[in-house]
Amino acid sequence: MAKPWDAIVVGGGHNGLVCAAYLAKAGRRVLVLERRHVLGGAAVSEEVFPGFTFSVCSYVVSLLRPWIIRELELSRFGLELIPLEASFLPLPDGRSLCRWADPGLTRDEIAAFSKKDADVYSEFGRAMSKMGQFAKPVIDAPAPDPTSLRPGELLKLLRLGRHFQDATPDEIELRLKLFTMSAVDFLDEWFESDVLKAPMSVSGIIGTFLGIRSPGTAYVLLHHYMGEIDGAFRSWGFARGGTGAVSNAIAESARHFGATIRTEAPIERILVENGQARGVLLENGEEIRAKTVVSGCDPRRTFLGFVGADHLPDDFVEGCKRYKYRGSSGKVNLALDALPQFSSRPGDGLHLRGDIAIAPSTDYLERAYDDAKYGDFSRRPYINVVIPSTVDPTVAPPGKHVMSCFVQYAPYDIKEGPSHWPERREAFGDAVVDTLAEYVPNIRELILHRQVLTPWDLEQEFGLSEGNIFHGELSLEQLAFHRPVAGWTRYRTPVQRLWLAGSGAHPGGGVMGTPGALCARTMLDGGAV
Amino acid sequence: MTKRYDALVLGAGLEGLAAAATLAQAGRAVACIDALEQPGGVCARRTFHADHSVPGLLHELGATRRALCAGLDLASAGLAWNEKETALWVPPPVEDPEARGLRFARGEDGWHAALGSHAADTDGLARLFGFIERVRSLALEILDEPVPELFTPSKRELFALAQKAVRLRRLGDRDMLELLRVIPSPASDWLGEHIAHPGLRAVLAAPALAGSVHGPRAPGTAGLVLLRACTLEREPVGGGAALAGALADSARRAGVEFLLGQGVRELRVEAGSVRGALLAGGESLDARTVVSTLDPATTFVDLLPFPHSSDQLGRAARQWRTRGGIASLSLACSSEPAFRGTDDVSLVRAISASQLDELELAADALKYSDVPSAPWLDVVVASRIDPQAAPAGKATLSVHIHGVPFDVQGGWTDAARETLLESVWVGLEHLAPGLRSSVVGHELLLPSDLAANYGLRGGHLLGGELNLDQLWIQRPSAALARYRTPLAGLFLAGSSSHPGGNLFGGAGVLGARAVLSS
Repeated sequence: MAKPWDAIVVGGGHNGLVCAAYLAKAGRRVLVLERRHVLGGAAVSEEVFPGFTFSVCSYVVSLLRPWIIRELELSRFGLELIPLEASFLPLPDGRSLCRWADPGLTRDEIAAFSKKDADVYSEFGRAMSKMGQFAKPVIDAPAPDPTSLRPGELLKLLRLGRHFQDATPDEIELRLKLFTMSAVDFLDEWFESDVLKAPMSVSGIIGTFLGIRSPGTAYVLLHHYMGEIDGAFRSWGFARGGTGAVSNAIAESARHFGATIRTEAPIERILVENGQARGVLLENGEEIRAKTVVSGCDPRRTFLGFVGADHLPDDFVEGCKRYKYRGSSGKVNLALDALPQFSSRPGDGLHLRGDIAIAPSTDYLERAYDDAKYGDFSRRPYINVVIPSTVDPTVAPPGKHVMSCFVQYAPYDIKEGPSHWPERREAFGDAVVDTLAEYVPNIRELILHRQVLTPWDLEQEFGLSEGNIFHGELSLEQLAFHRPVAGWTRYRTPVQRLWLAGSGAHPGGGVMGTPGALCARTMLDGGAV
Repeated sequence: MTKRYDALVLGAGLEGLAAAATLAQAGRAVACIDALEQPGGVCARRTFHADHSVPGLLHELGATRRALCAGLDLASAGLAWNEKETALWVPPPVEDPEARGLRFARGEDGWHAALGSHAADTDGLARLFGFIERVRSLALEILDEPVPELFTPSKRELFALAQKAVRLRRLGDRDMLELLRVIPSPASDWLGEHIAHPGLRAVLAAPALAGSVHGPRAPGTAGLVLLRACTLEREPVGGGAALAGALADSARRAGVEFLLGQGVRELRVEAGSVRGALLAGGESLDARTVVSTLDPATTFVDLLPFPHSSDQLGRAARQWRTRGGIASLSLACSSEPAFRGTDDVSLVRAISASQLDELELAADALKYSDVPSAPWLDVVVASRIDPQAAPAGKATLSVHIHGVPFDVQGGWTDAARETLLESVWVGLEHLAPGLRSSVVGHELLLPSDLAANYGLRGGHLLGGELNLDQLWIQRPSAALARYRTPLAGLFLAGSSSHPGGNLFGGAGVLGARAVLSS
């Protein structure tokens, strides 16, 4: 019989791969098992149509932690990040707002809508960056455990408290507000122009089933403000070759350090004997033993799927069932015959080399949410568009383009029931194209191919429960020591030798890599592997 | 000649009365000033039709901080509390005539609801209220004392904070973590975890959300449901007017002088300290201390002379949110109302929402400043709690129409008011068939009318929106939550201060204590 692995990682998404790379780097024998034929999970590039490569799901790189890039030497293994040039907001009335990397240019653009806002904008950026600095130690370390009485844990909580106290009264107020306010209420305190507030507020709702006026969304705004490339705050980027290139670089790194990676190796279940994980059983009947098993899948698939409720304590199962997914977004990927022409800024330009938001007003965004609340996709959704082919010629044939549209809201639980999504898929795609046509009149003539991914598809195809791109909603009651189930927040699980390394663990979703890295670190530090 | 006092209390609403009485009892010479002709604010009796009056406009006074008000001896001022908690009636939904209505009340031995086919909810309800009972005493402890000092805590305060942390830990891991999970959750999620009956979910959420512009899907609304469940007890006999009357009586006996019928025009400030106030009629009053129970914007922007109202105070005032969402409709009826689905003629209160989405839809109308097409209604038969409200055999009803914005698109024209009233008649007919034909007189107060008549900014009845970001250490802002202001001698202690909202008497008494200890 073959020598058992030190660790089997179930799921070759970016977090599973990061965890595997760290374990391998520490000299452990690691096997990664991926169900699909490509690595990356939702951070994947695929040639969906001949010649057109799409970042099928996740489409920009923002939160990937610089220390992970450094420690896993991802640049050496092919990761190349291209910063986004701008955030472009076209409006249906022909006006538009572009926020550039250059603060002076941005100021001029905003001043066209509000002089006061133009003045405040950079001050806001500074305040948020400072907040980001405060949040960084929280997202770069395992969640504090308020139930522990160990001196080390108490000290950690105390240090967080001290950190709080060292701030000025204004900073304390800002922090309190950020954790409890809605994105719109929070921005209202700074800005007057709806044209500025609308595109800024949307980062508060990405991947949640909340509206921009829902309390608590101001915090998520920060979550997305912490994006950094090479240590520079608020810079988003494309990976050359698509988001899959991130996963491929991590995989290369893992292989370099000695990990073995198998694709098209779906597992049937995680083998549990006497309350301990012993390995996995593949769908083809093959059994592979290991000293530890790490799951990069979301908590529902991991515990209620691969492990089974029988092997778990009742209250843990209860907690798993209560944990909310409620996917709220879809993806429409378009292969275009030529560069799209925005009526508000025709022609080619740097504004197309960034992210483009269809978010003309706060009421527009809120109405999009209302449609979803009552069980339908938004008739006029929020769309975040990127055209990576403008900066990365490898992803489309010459002269042609790929256009990636992140679309919210598309609720998993539509009123007909989630399994009826396939019948509504094309109507959803049409709503997206119709919306785009209000800004890009000739869009319909340009479309060569169209791929529509509903939350149902994200679940079926990518294994994301209820189509949630973050392995569970990023709402306040599901963060830190509540993620995914209170009492089980340190990557450990009630099954001994089974670990959770996906976005369903602290600090949560986004192509961040932190859950995978922190899981590996916790395992190694504790001598578990 | 300028009159001289130790303290001026601005506003003779419940908080103003409680603050004035507390200060006077401690031997201070106190004047309580209000623009209205009688004390009580929105709790004062309002006669709106011949022989018909409402004992104030509020529907729930059961969360009054009775422990904090104990020293005011309201009992000898004639105040009594009901022996039982007020039952809430939810009629069966229109589309399901077979269904039974829901009567919901808390008795000595727990919560009661006739659940019919939802018998499984009996366990859910027990689980829910078991948890509430276990966290209740900690919640009350936190609500009945000033918020902790965040900025420059003394050793003693740090110790008190540590004690609080220990109390939290003593709940046990399970309840502590559950408490931290529930507070920021949406009410619809938390209630959905325990309860299947749509009417029972609605009856638990609806009154708790009355001070918020949000619907039950909004994060933090579970915290409001929990807050209400922890604090609500029996109602005062005779309603708000009786409570206000007793507080005013207590204040008078302690020596408070009432200056009614004219408000304050401006606060007098010298060398960075408050020195008194100038009344609307031109009279000048001297005092080393001014306790304002008015909202922060009125206090800091309208009443403070320019150079003092700048910066921190002005910002706190501007950022304080007071979007009202309730219109008050008083009805004079020629006969007793009969709620649909029950023959209990002693029922005092009913709500029209038989599921959570009705609350959500009302909140949607607020977001877009629309006239709500189907507002939900909270009805109190005022004449059943206060015999003075209507002549024998007749009835007076107080209706809260939820989801009514301060401003609507196109303004509150007569046509818009009519549109609103029409949808209310439809809702009332559903709640109590035949009611409309018995109405002999009515008065509709939109949020803008409440603002104009009672000086309530935004028409908000509870001093400012109830949301997580406007409670506890953030009520009304982190820097002002301990009643003191940066201006020496000026204190803020209305319902826009902790504990605020409908936790009546809390801010007034705690604010007065802050004055006395400084």
